[in-house]
Amino acid sequence: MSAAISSGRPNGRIPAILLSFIFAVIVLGPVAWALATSFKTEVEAVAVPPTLWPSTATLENYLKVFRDQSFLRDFWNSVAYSVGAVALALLVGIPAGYAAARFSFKGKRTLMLTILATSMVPGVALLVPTFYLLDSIGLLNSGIVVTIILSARIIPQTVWFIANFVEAVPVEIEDSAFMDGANRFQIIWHLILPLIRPGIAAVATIGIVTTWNDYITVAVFAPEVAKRTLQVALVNQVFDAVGISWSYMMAFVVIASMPVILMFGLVQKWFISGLTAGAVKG
Amino acid sequence: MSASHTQAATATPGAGLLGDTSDTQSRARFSWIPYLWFAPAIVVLFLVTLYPTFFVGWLSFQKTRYYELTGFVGLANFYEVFGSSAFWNTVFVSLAYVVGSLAGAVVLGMAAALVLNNAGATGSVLRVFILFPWTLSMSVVGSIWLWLLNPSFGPIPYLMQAVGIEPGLMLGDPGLALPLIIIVTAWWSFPYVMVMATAAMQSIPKELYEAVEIDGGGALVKFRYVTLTHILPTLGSTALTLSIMYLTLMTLIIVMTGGGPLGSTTTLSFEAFRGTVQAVNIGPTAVVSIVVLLINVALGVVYTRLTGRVTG
Amino acid sequence: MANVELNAVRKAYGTAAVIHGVTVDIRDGEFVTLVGPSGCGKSTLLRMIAGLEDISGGEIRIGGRTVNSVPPKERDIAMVFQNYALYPHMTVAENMGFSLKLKKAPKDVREAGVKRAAEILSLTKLLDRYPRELSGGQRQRVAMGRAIVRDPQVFLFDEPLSNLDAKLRVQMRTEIKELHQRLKTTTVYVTHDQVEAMTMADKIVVMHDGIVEQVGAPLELYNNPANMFVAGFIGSPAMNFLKGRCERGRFLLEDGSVLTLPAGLEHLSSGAVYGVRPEHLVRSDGGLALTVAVVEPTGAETQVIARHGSQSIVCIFRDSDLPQPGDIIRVRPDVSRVHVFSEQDGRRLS
Repeated sequence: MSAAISSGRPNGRIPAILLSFIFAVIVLGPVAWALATSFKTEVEAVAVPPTLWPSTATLENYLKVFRDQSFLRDFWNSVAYSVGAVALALLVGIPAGYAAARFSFKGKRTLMLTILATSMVPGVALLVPTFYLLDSIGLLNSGIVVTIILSARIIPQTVWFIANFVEAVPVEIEDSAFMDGANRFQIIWHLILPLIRPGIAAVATIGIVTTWNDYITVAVFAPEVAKRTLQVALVNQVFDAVGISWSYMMAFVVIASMPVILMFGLVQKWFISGLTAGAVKG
Repeated sequence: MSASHTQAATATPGAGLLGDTSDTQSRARFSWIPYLWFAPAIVVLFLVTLYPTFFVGWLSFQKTRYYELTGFVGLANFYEVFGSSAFWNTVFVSLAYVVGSLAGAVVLGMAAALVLNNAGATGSVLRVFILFPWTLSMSVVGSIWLWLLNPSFGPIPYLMQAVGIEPGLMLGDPGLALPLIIIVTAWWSFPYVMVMATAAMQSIPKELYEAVEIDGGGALVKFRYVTLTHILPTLGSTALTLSIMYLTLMTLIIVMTGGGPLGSTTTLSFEAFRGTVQAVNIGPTAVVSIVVLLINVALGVVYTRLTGRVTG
Repeated sequence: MANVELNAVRKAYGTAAVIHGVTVDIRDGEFVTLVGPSGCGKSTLLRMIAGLEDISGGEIRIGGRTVNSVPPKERDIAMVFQNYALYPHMTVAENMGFSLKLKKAPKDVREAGVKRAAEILSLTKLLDRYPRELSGGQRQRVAMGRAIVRDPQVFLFDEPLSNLDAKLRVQMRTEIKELHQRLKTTTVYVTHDQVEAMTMADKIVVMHDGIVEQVGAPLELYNNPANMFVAGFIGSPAMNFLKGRCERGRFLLEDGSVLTLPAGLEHLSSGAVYGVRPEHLVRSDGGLALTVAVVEPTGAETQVIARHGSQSIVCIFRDSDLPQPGDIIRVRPDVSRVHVFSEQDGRRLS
């Protein structure tokens, strides 16, 4: 497990442990400050000198966020886009990944390289052409279009990951099921999907986080207020420099991050395994 | 069904995802079924990625006014962009941003990986917490730091003042804005380097360290000849991943500085974004987009080669 | 139950032929092993019988019916795989009942089938376990159970014991043989281990480079190998081969030493290979002089590796009078069990 550089003696670890906590403070300090601010009153938030701990903790900022009439709609848009994008990515990625792992046919290499190549095309480079095309066919401000665009962003990695997961399932298991009388769809449904479930969970987790956190795609292709997400709503408040209330905004930050935080807390193992998949070459 | 299943199911083991299977293929009947499995993914990628990629190329040769195309102009857009000092300033800002953020993230990430790896169970627990900011969106990260760095009420300028440094305008200072954004970017992304480096470190066989110990090497030898040698490839590919990410990162800049002050934080990607939403003349924006695209694809190809994803 | 006939069966991947016309008759209820070194095509042949590989040429008949284009599930066969291929996310009972579930058999039929197979293999107590909770031997049994549940006409085994440790292997060998004696189902069993092949089979098919070298009962192959390949492959330790010439009723080694030829070869006069099994060399004054290199006692018998000139010769002795490394011993082959092979094509001449 450990690639210890110092020897394994427990007291040799104390400096490392102290330094670890310093790193934790560097990373979590700013987050903690934002969290503390979200519980302060608007006045206390901008007090000089700043207070570390809210003197009178209040939930007022959170209530204000929830009471905002557009909040539910923004939240629903965020959920719909990210869940929809991941569902679509899995729907098209699982067959492609399975076929990549199990079939051999002419042009497979070209197909897989094309999919890989699309992952190298940055979304930012496609802002102008996509905006132009959507505008010319009247598809700006469409939730479905935004969902598909977000999905395309995660499809390449989904296909590659699924292909690798399926390859890791011994082909004899499929042979065996085939002899047991299963057809291709039964094999995928009864065997492959249950067996690669951890992999699918990892891909889905990363996909949800990626799409939930997107600002650009929604902001550019669905600029209408009714189509915006929490991320867009948050950034719009920053632009609204006059009426900015820092404690309200930090409460918004916490709420906008909550689903991703919960997800990370629940499945951080999958999250990390998804991040590091393929990172280390033997 | 059965014959094609048989062929497909048994011919592949060992062929690999990119395996050339011409020999098993030449005899088998041609079947279009495998392509059907790919069709939905390819259709989506074609519509969303491939077609607009070709289209941006075409767009770059058009004379434009807002979103109106007014005719073919050859390389005029390219001349306009490459001839403007603003563009080269953007290139320089992008470069400084990528290199600066990368340096910060890699150094911090490596240090964190080493430290936490030697901190036993405490390290394993803290590692999860330290990775946490990586899951936050750029708009959230930007908002938090905008608050922390707020020259009037933010805690960081307050602390600076307390130790006798005049904080000034912070993000409003043309000389300070880019370094501050670099710091925030490194803060946000070093945990990613840490996780990757840790994964690589933990794949190093313990026996190698024991061998060094028996050969009489100390901690420095272990780090130099075992740890570093082993994690270097991973570190390289991680750095490339981050470079690609930094190069295309806009939201943080949109939130924190809006590309200013005085263009001091306008990167290529931010310029592509600004050009799209302002839509004064999208021809040159198409050219900037193509520049970003080409750099990204080049880095992507290097990454693919480096990680051996394709060559095996 | 059924017989299996392979008639000039061929398999090629593109232009690369891996099986060049195999013809074997497997009678109803017979236990047949396909044995040969890795890459000889035995597993491919088995998978062709199973229907997992296309047949490039020839004909496979099961129970008198040509099955070349019949999908596996309609061939009425069951297969046990080398790595067991158990479904990791299903319990033992679910693993064994999966084929019945796919056939949409009613629940009680399924349960009865699983129960019967579990009793045969003493798996009843493990039915609710998952494969990962089982030992290697138990997994092997579940894999067989899955085959038994389907009550097939033919069992196919693809190196089923190669993932087990040596002791378990011997035990499972016995179990599979007992199972066969009880169910009397036609069985085709692939292995690279000639001991497994010898001990289990009614009939052995020795394969090499995609062709059948010899088909026969285990002792027939041992006593009357058709050629040098079979002679060298069957029997452990392997047969000693000595190069030399047949001349005037004697066999002359390269250094001029003389060995007695078996009867019937008195008139042969050509280069040849003299084959004698280690267990058919006896110590005898006036025999061939060998220098002892290594002595490996195993208890019941002792294996002696010795040299004659540049030639290494293995002997097995059962007496307790062990030579020491460096000793010169004299041995004589048991002429009634010696084989002489053609130098050109390896065919047996004696």
